Amino acid sequence: MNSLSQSLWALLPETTLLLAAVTIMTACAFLNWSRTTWSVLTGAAFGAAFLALLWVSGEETDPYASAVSTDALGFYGRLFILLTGPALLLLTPRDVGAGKAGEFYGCLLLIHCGAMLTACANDLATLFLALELVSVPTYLLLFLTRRSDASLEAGTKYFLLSVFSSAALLFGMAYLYGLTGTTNLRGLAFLLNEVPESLPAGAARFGTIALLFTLGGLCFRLAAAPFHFYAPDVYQGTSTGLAALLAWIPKGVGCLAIIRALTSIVGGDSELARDGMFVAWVIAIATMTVGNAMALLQSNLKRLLAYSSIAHAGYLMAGVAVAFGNPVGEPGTRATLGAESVLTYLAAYALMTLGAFAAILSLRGEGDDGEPETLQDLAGLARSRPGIALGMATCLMSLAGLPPTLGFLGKFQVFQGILESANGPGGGAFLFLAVAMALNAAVGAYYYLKIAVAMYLGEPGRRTRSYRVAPAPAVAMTVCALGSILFGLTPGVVTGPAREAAVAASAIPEPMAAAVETAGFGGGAGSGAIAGPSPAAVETVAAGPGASSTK
Amino acid sequence: MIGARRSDSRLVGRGGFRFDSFGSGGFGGRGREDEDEDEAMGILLLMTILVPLALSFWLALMSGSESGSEPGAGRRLALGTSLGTLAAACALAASHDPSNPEAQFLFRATWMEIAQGGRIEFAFGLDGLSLGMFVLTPLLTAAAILSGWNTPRERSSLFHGLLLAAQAGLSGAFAAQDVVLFYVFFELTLIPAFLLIGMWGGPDRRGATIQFFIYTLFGSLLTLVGLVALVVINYNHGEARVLTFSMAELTRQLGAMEWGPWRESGTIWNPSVQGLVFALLLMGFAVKLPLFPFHSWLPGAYHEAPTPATIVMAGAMSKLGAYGLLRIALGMTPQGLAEFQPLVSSLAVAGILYGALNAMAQTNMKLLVAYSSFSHMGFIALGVVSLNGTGIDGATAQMVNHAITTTALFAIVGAARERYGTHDLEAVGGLWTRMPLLAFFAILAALGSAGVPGLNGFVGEFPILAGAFRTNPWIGFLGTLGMILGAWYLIGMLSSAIFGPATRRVKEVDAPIRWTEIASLGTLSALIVALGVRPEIMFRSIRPSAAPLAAAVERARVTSTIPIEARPDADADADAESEAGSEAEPDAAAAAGNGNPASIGAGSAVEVGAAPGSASDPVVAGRRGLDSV
Repeated sequence: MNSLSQSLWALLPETTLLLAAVTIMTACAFLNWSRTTWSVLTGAAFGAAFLALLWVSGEETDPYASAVSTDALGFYGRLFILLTGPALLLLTPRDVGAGKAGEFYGCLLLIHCGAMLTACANDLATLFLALELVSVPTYLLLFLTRRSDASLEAGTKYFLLSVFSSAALLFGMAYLYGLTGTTNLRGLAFLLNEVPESLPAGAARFGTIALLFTLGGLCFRLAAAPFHFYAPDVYQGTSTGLAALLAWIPKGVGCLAIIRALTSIVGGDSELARDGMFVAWVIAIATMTVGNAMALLQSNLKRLLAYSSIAHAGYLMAGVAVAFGNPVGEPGTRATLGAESVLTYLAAYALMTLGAFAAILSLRGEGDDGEPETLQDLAGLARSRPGIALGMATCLMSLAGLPPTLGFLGKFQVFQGILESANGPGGGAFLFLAVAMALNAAVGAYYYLKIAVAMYLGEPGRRTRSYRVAPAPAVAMTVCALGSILFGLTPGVVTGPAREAAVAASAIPEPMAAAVETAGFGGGAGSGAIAGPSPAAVETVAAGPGASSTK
Repeated sequence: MIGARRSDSRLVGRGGFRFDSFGSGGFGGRGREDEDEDEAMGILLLMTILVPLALSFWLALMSGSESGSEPGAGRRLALGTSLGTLAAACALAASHDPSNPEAQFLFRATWMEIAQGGRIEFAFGLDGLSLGMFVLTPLLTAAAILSGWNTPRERSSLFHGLLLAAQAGLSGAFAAQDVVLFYVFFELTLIPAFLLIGMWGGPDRRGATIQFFIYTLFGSLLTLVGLVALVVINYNHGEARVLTFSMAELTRQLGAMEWGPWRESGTIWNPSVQGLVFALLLMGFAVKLPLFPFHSWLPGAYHEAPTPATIVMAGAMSKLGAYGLLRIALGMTPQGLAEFQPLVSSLAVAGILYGALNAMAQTNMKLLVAYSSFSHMGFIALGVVSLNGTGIDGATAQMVNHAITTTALFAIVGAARERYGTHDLEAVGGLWTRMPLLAFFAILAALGSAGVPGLNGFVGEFPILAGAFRTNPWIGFLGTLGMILGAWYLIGMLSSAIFGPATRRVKEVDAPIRWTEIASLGTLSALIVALGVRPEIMFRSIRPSAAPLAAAVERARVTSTIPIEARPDADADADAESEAGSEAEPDAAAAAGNGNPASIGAGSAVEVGAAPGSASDPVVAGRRGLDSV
């Protein structure tokens, strides 16, 4: 039971958030406090979780027994998600009526709780639970802020597709379990890479099915093709603050889940890894091309940013394709460049996308006119609101991948990973991917440039609105824009943790000799659970399918 | 966490290994005082780049508080900065040791640590290839500021801040000794240029600036892929297996690399690995240069841009393309260049002729000079890809010469436009009668640009054409034709704008030449004459630095396999490769021995007459070709 208590202790930050969420959601039924009060409480909960995370950061859990992992990916992933919490808090106030504020902020806390749990999940069941913990409150948020039929449609669309993708994910996970007999992710990695001969016959075919469905289910969260259709409608239909949340949290969660559940257990030269590489390669090229091509046609800002986020999902998937080619369990070489580039890109993406949404949100029109909706609404912004225009331009520079911003660093890392892979078998395909990505980035720069041109070179027309500046989103925008520049100039701050996390995620620690003997590895059967001596592991393994079926 | 620690210890091991191999940098075998002095010069070099950058931000902030109707203190600060940096650059040039081909005045600081001990560095330094343009960049900026002294009236501080930012970006790109740093500065020039055209340009500025930006970005992103590919290939196959971004290291290691596919040669239709990387690198440089047919952004951008911006773009920014080719493509992918040489030199000549014919057809003075600039950039491209030392020396020198003459011509066009409000060649005539000094400057600049012996254009273009003739007489012939056309349209421009009868408009306006124009044009004219009379000033430092590049490309031209002295069993290998090649691609092998890498080098060597003897045995012919070099 030692391992179980360790895991629970390591989950202290998540527990803090969960408790805060439950308290807030219960209390708001009885207390008629203002929105500001609730948001301050939420902020305090984030702060408490931050302290809790620092407190438990030294904890170590048994990689083969525990359902959570406190490795570097667990720590830095949770830390980063936690830091974006206050930013989202600053972006969302306008979406909430005072009557619904408690529920709204409770959901926000739950979403972050789920996202943090994804970062440190070490078990298929935990991972699935974490992903659902992100999804379910998101549905609630979409319906809570419903203002029109369009937002109702957006919420419904998101709900149905999300449920569908969860089913696909679960299907894939079930195959992974069936293949190996364990749900522990390190155990899966050990079985698939160190003792592949212990897998049952036909493992490759089952493995491919598992891979396809798991990746497909997670691609929905990244808004990667062919599961990207919902993004523009949902972003446009919902409020801008929630669009910012949808653009960042599911994508971050999806990437973390892919790293945890796929690229850290499948990799190297195996047949399964090559399948993964191929699928990710196709998805990457399709996603970035579709996203950029469609974004070119948009004049609505939110739709444009939605398609831009699809395009960025494509760049992230390019990193995933690289990560599939990296061998698992051999850290220290350049073997973790794929996951490292995905994590770096993800950090850059969070800052620049949240910054761009924050810039839109910080402009408040006079009277009934809300925030800017189309490109034309931004015309001449550099003259009327130079600060906001500059912040927006910085984020756009980062999105376009121009140096010296963090966005450039992300693209640079992905290019590096791709070209490193171009060195091995199937090198031509990777070179093609690099060139396709470069061309796509240039296409992408065009529509970001259109926004910059509207702001800096556009003449304000007769219908152009004048704006007041909303302070809270403006603060978030400033932080994001400064972060994009400063981290771009001191990239080690981002790449260092990203590398450490990537290395830690794919490491396969030596299992205890006793565990190997008990489970009888190398015997050929290999259908037993991997971590025999630990009762907690048996528990989690047993709970895995059980939890899934109740879902 | 255990995994992370295990990997960390390995990282350190790798890093230490790399550090040892770095001892062969620029300092070997010199005294301590020299080192100290070098360090001080390195900091001066850094200041030359960073001070304008910092002041550009200051000017941009200042523009917020400006009333907006008069050019304020911004222009004086900008001029002072560019003159100060010019003085610093001249001091660097004066203490530059021309006999040392390595980069001097090195400044290096780690910017970013990458796994496996690789680090991207803030590394700056100057050698013979970059020194000329580095000194010229602040000079051109000063000339640009002086030529637009009274313009623009609106947000003038921001305008001058952007000019300084462009200067900083250009200086940084010319001095960068790290490929990523080079790319960062290469891109950094884009944003000031975009805003300068977009905010202060002519009526069609928006379309022009977007086209310029997107074209450049398309190319440069592909170049980025090429740069990263170079680094990765060097890491995986290079001699020391180090992850390095240093230009000097990359040039040295990629040049000596033994990896088969890297040395293998292909054709344009079936390029080798090196050819592919070269093609990627070429894209960005070709757009920046611009090489025909990547030039369609040029007329719009040059024409719509305000004159100072045009000067900076045509004078200095276009040289980044040529410089990138010289510094990166030539040094690191000579074989790839040799593969694509026929294509690139044909495009260069096509650009020369196309630009010249377009210039002849113009009645708009600014467009005429723009096309003339494009046409003359073709010569520089031609020299870079001439595959011999003469052409490369000429191209490096011509970068400086072209920058000077183009700046002078655009400044004169700007001066005429400011007075008469038009670029129309018909409306401006007989300048000689009203402003003899300006007319004199115009004649000197046009003759210099046309390549009249005794002026600076000649000393650059003559070696380029000589080099082109050596490689392919037809290309040389067509290039010479372009030079003649150049003289034709430039003298045509002079005859209608300077010598013809004074038009009504010229008679009406009474605006004598200003001190700012005399200062900038006078300096440029002095340089046109001085460099024409004493070209040794330039070639002295260019030759030693260009020599290793020239050696690399000449070797690439003659032989396409790994150098024979490095591979004693080259014959056996070549045979094996020819077998493998013919197995893989029977039809390719049938067509003139395409499958055999050795035979291509031999073929080209025989074609240009560098190798005596028969080509019956391709491998032997290849070896003879090498020996003859």
